Amino acid sequence: MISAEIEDDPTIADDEFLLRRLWRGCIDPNDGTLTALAFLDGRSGSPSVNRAALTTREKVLSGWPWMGLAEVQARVPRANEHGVIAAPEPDDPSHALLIPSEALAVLKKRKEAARRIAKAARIVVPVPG
Amino acid sequence: MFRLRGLRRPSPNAPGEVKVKPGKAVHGIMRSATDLFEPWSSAFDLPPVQWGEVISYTAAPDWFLSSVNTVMALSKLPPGWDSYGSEPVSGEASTQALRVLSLLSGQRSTTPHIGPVAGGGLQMEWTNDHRALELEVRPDGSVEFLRVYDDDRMEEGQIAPDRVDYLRQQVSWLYSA
Repeated sequence: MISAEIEDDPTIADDEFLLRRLWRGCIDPNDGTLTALAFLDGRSGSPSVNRAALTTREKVLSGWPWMGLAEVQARVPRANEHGVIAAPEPDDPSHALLIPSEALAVLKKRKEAARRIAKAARIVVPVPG
Repeated sequence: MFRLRGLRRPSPNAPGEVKVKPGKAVHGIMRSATDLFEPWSSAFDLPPVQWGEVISYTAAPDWFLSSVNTVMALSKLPPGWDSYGSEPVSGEASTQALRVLSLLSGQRSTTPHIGPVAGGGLQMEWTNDHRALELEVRPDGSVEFLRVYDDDRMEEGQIAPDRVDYLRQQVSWLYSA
């Protein structure tokens, strides 16, 4: 259940898949799963994603041949105090953002949320190499 | 993917020990904890932490040398390395990460998984069976931790700059199971 104060777009369904590009450091070498790094953003705090329904994996990876791709359903960030909002760009209508709740920082759950989202995500295109 | 000249153990004929003097960099890596905490100590009017010891590179554990090399490599990432426009790893973050590693160099440990954090930080992650420990160095050099317990509970917080003992306790906790 998402908190009422989180900025969220209800037109993005819970079962909609969101895509996130991966770099090698995102992968835990011990078990091959994603680490929190995949969804940690120390700059804005709002990681970018792409709505799978509005794009293709190939388009998301276009120009980034050394990167992989993960997918996660919108319900997962919502269950971890993040809203999901559409943030279309001129050349990328599928662009969206995961918006953390203000409570996340107060409750000291920023890193936990990123880890839980990462562990629930699925690698759909492995990082090359 | 990333190549650079990293730390190597000294040759058998090289001196194996280097005495750390406050404020002096040793091979650009090691500094005393006094130097480490001076900025914060001044800011919060805390007494400087007195710390200095003889560091033996010949005795330095492999995990430490490997980790230092990784931090040095990651500190050279270009802007936009994550494909989402991230800044490079900040100088404060890489310097602090090296200092944290040096403070932990005497601890029982395995090689942490080290990766860049979007926005200019670095994260070190250790796992031991069902426990995990993440130490994230933010772009401003502050350090945050996340403990993952055996039952999947998690606890996170910030490590105060004068709590060298607490930093070491985090790693000790990981291997105390």
